[in-house]
Amino acid sequence: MTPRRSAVERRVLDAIDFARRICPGYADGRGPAAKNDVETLARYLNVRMRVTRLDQPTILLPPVGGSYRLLIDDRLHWGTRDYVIRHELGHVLAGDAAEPTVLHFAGPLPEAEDVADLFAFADMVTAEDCGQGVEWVRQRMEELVVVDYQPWYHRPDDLAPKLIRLRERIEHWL
Amino acid sequence: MTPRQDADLERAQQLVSEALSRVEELSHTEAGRAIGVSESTVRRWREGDVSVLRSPVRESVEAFVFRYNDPGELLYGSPVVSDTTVPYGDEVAAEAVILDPNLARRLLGSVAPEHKRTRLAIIHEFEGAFVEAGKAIPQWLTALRTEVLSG
Repeated sequence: MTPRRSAVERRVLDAIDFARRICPGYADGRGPAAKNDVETLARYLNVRMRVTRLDQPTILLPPVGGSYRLLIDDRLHWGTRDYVIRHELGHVLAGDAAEPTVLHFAGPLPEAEDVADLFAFADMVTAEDCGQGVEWVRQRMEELVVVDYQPWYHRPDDLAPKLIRLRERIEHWL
Repeated sequence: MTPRQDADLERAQQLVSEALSRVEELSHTEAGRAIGVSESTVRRWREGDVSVLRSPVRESVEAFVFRYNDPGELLYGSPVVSDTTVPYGDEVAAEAVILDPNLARRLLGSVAPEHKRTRLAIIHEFEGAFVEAGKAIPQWLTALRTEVLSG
């Protein structure tokens, strides 16, 4: 039976499908795509990245002089940095980057944040991890993303079941 | 047409022709994204209709031509459009390339005033964009930096 896709899942699948044209191993379930491939994807999307000192983990600016500008705080550890890059590229791919976007964990989240988060974790969390169940995936997310930001702490609870469901959709649709 | 308008048109046609020659292989939409103009503008240009360019569009084309002096760089410089992205209309395209105080203020306004380092990083991006386009950093941008620093 063909699994149904929610609006968010459809958007994430479209974004992954597109990302794979430039970054072939993206979200293939075997672990994060190569750093060079992700950077090539960013260049194709006209996103310039810069690591600098910020007051928040990251900010993505809509095109300034023709290029999106992704600023990343230099104190983020590498795993979190990888997540942040994928998250923001997810916003660009989904067409949700017309206004500046920052990591957004608090309160009711707009659909765009779910799309960006699932786009990021679909690449970073393996299919094998997803097969281990919700608690396993939740802990894996906490290992991967370390930000000292209270609202983040509950985000994996919400995301883990969605990611497991998405993994099934990826296997079926892509 | 005055001689000045003639020269403007000639320069515009030269810029457009140079930009189009670097995106020959791309669709109208992809070429528009690469140059920073809308799909319909690219279509019009490819049909030979190049009037004197509006300022933001002209700035975008100049920046594009400047950025891709080496055509080999186009591979990495040309963005690709997916069906999921927002259509790139004239207004969005124009907004994407304007380097003016309104855009800078709008972006700064999205960050809390106490987040001074983030605000300065945004200003730095604008300064970089002017440098990349081979333009001098305008006075309004220097004034904005002072305002953020003292704020």
